[in-house]
Amino acid sequence: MILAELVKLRRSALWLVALVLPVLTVTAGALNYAGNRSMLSSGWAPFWSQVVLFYGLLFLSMGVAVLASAAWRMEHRGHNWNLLMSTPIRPAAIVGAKIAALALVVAFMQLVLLVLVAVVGRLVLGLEGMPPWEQAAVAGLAVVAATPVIAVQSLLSMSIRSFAAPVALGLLGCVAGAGVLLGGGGGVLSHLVPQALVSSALFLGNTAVADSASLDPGAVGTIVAAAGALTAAVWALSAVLLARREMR
Amino acid sequence: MSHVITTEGLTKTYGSRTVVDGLDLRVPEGCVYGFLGPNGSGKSTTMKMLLSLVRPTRGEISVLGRPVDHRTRHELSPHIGSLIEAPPGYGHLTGRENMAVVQRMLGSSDRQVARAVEIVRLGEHMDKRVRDYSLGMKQRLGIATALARDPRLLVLDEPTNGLDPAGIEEIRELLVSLADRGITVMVSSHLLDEVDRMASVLGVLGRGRLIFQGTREELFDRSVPDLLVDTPEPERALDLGLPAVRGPGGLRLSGFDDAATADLVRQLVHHEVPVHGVRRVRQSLEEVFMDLTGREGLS
Repeated sequence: MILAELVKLRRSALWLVALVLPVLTVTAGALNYAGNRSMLSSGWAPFWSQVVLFYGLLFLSMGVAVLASAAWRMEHRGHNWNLLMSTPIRPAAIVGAKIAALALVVAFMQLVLLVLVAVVGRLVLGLEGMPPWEQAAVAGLAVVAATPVIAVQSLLSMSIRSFAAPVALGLLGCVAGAGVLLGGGGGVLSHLVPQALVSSALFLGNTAVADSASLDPGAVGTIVAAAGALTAAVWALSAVLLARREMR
Repeated sequence: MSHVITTEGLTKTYGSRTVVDGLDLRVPEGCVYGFLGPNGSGKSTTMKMLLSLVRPTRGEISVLGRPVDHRTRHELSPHIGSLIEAPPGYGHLTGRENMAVVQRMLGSSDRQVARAVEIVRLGEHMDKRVRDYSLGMKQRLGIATALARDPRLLVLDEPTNGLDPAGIEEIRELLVSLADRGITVMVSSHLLDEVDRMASVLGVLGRGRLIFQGTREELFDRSVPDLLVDTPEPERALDLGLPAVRGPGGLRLSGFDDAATADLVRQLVHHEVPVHGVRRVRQSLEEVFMDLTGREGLS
């Protein structure tokens, strides 16, 4: 089923979203960094912190919401549900393949982000050397941390035909996630709200964000475990709901 | 005769509205089964229940000898090709890519896919994006997706919808040829003429109920066509108090079966009304349906 999903991604508008979002993010981060050089120390870490600040709180999760709505719109349009549900593929595989395909696009988006950070940092901001490996590790971890958001947005977009409604609900999730993190809630709650988990992952080792954990095996392991558990729970719920769905 | 589809008291209600009401379908193996009814009569809902896309409120369904429910859907779906309501398709992909999606979902072989495309004669358009397809091409692609699994049963909901006469003829020939290969085809339509020339067994749905089910011949037998009596003196015949009206060549009488016709001729001869000929009106399938449905018609 995952192979079928990969074919559907060809010439899909999802790739455009995955390209444009990092461009906007790095542009905003670079402008922020350049405009506040007097207040920020020079180097890759302060630049990275400016890039991931809004990306971690809002852009990545909202990007996922848009990607999920676009991915399920393919099925809502043109009676493709009838086709999907009259194949031998089980509901869990249908939902799982969609989550995996979306994770692939998010991974591509993270790769674009890393490349853009390196290019803009060197060529535009004149930073020396290359970005530290920790930034690549955090960007990769963010893909794992984003899977619960992918699963939740996938569930919403699967259940609601509207493109905008799941995105709006995703925005509410971001507000809740930011509230948990910035309100100092932290702890368990920051690992239970999917959007907060994305922020926690992207802010690892980031000195510009208060209360962010350091990039150590314990913090990484907790995020991976939370992401796995949340994704599995939402995936299972999606499969049950899809199995009960009536094609009216 | 073995049946590929049987249903017992199949019923679907949405709230207080009964959409399908107590259907006892019998679809014989290897036939083209024409499923007729006006728009909104419950054809699509019935077909969705056969495919387990919609759960019945009451009743039993058996397809290919297996009960149909959400547990058996995965066992049955490799053997059932379907096209419900409108052809599916991913507009941003080409025909070939759409078939690749279906192939990966069904686990079909390259040979099965190539054969399905060949049967619907879509080969030269496979590299065109589906959003640029005509409705006829979309319908053919939809049928190709249904065929890509070497099905034993095809369930096609209005496959000729929106096609021009040449396209309709093409689909008709295709479905008949598939039935010749041993595939049972259940095809719905709200247009009688379309089904008349391809279906060997008919099921007629009206307001969710099965009004008729059987062969075309049985359908004609069910209906008694009007009688035409050729006589140069129809007034004399009317004076006898017969329930007749003036018709071409003499009189036209309704509801006269063979025995009543013999009595009528005897009566006319007895009263020395000249009878030059007695014949039945040739009925089209539509007129038979009109007769069956109390002149309400089907569409």
